[in-house]
Amino acid sequence: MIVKLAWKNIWRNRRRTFITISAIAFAVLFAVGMRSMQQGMEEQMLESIVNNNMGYIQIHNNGFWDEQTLDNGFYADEIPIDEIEALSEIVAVDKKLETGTLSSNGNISRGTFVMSYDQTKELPTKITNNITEGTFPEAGKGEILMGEELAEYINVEIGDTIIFLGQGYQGATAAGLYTLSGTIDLHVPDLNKIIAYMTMEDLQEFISAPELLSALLIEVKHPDRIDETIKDLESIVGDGFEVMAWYDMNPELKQTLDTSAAKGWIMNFILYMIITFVMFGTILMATQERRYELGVLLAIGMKKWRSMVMVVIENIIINIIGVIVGIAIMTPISYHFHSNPIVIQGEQAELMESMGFEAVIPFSIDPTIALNHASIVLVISILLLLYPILSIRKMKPVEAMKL
Amino acid sequence: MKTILKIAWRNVWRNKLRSGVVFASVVMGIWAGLFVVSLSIGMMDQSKRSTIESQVSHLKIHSTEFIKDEKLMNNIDPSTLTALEEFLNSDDRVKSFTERTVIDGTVTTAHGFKNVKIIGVDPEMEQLVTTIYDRLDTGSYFSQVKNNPILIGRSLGDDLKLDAGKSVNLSFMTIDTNSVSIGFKAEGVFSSGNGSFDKMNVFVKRDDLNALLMCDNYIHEFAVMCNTIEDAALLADAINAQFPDIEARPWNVVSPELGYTDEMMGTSIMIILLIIIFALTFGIVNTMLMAVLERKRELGMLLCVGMNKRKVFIMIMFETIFLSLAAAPIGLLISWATISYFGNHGINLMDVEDAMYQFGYDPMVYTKLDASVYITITMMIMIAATISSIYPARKALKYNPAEAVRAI
Repeated sequence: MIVKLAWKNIWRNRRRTFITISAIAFAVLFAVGMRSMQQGMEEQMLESIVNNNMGYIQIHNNGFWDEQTLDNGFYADEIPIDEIEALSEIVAVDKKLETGTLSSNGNISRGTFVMSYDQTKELPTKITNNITEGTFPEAGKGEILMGEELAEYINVEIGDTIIFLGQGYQGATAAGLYTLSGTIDLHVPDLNKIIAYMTMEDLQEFISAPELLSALLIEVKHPDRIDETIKDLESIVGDGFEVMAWYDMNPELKQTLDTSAAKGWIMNFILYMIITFVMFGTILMATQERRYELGVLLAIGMKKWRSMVMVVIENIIINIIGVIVGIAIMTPISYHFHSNPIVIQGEQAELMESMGFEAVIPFSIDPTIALNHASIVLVISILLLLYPILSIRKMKPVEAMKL
Repeated sequence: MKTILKIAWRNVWRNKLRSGVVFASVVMGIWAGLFVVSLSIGMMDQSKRSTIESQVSHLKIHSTEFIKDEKLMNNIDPSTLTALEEFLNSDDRVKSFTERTVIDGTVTTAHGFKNVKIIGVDPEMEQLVTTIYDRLDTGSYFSQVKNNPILIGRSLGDDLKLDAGKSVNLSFMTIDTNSVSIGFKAEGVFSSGNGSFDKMNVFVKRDDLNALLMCDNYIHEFAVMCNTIEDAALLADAINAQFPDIEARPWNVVSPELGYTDEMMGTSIMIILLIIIFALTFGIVNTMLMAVLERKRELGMLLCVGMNKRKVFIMIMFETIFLSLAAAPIGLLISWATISYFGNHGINLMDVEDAMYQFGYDPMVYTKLDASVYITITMMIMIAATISSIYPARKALKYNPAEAVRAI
């Protein structure tokens, strides 16, 4: 009987129902939308830093991380790369080789950090966006790309020859002649003074150790499940290798992301205060508006607790509809901004791109966001029902029916 | 018009509950907008300030050759040195400065070795410029150890299993290209908050280092703090104009990534602010819509007794304007109070128990806001509130007076 009454009430005053539903739906929309955006930004920040520099996971020979020398490298066939690639969590495995050497031109020389790229893979945007002159080296041509300030210091221009002199694998002397194919500005002055890039084949030849690698960079499908993936990898590669997660290699990035998440929670808390207020305002005015009606019910003998139950049922139904409507509206919006992220314009975008970030703000489509925040909104909206309950408790039918 | 103003004013006071809700929405909107912005500014400021104070300083001065190549012999010419000291002492933009000898070297212990930058400092001058003295995890700042004290970074200490009180060997080249290796005693372990800075830099007394290098007053670097950060670029220009063989570089040139973070935060603050204003607008629209519904009979009555629709519309608008005008100062006051409170006491963003953040990293954020931003955001919120009452007011005009007056 009460349920029936509640149901009829919902449809009787459609306008009131509609306004209340829209309040709840918008609350869900804002809460989910804001969190999707924040989480999307965090995911992207992690992704671009990790992809450009180091992969989510790296595998090296034991001891490499503490002492990054060629002698702590390993041969590609020591690790069953096929087996790693076959794991369902793994998206890609990239090879990495880097070493220090001395680059000279005439009698000017400087210590140089040489990084190599696997030519079979696409170049990261951090490199392609920042080449200031010339091109990236092509395989087999004996070409190198240098940091702008390094090239300037040893006084070479594109097409000039540079002598590399250093130590190869296990004490071998390494020497070679290379042609400058281009210069790069990584926007970090200290790096521009020492960095050089060449193809992996050329570098392996230079250090006289074909197939030698310093690390395997591993890209995973679910960054949040990285700990389990590491365990799987450890059992594949065995004791002779160290498997490290990005947060062990770059604790500063973890700090930055954690701080940003903590800030996100404060912002969410503030948004929730506003949302609570919006819902409270709506439910308060809705109760005011039906004082007369409730007064009549009480006057003709309806028990107070029954009318309370009736109002609560009505509102719970409305709240649930509201939450569903909110999620229904937000999901396509999230998907839209996930695949067509908000693009940042102007100078700021250039800065971000030069640092290896994409100048976009994508939304996260993690389904737990919608679920968590919709539940929070629902709980708040149900707690707010205390107001109509209390106001019915205090209600005097005679006064309520006065106009 | 005067009558309408009067009616609107009385309406505000007649239904205190309804007025209270709208009033509180505006107060809360102003507070939320201001607080969010102040928090974001506080966060940017904190990471920037902490890096500048512990590592970068407002500006650094080197010889032009040293910037290209950090070699031992690329020091600042002694005659320039004296002139530069005089210049810095007399310029009133300069708060403090310190002179350093900076060389490359190697730290060796029984557990291994690391290549580092050895920075020779005058402990008293250094204390006025960088906060390293305040960021010691263990040990003391050049006060206890008599012979060859050295300060090392936390992450370097972890790598080499080094702690305060232990001995290390420093090796480097002297001016006549002899290689020396000398014992030092770790006096303190610092955490600047930047792990790679801690790993690559050690501090020793400049006098000790110069004696070992067999030279006197061999200076490679000046680090300068200005009275305000805005002076840095101007002062750098002034120095560069006067001294041709040295180069002064402000913080954003020495460490460009510090400037970038400012830029990147900007967009996300704007979006969050928009979301808040939007949520607030929606809240007011909703409350007012419900209020118009609740006032159906009252508004119908006004229409029946001959008040025209335009006047009813203006009356409802005035009610909202009154409420937001009254709410603005209250909102400002509350915002100002909370922002100043957290500006002094800070907000702890991290669980202090977490071992990762125990050393060096400062999880406290101090909120901060310019006076102009207070005004801008308050205006934005008030305008949003006024605009959001248009739709409900228009809705009210659609009532049929005859029906509305019978509504209960």
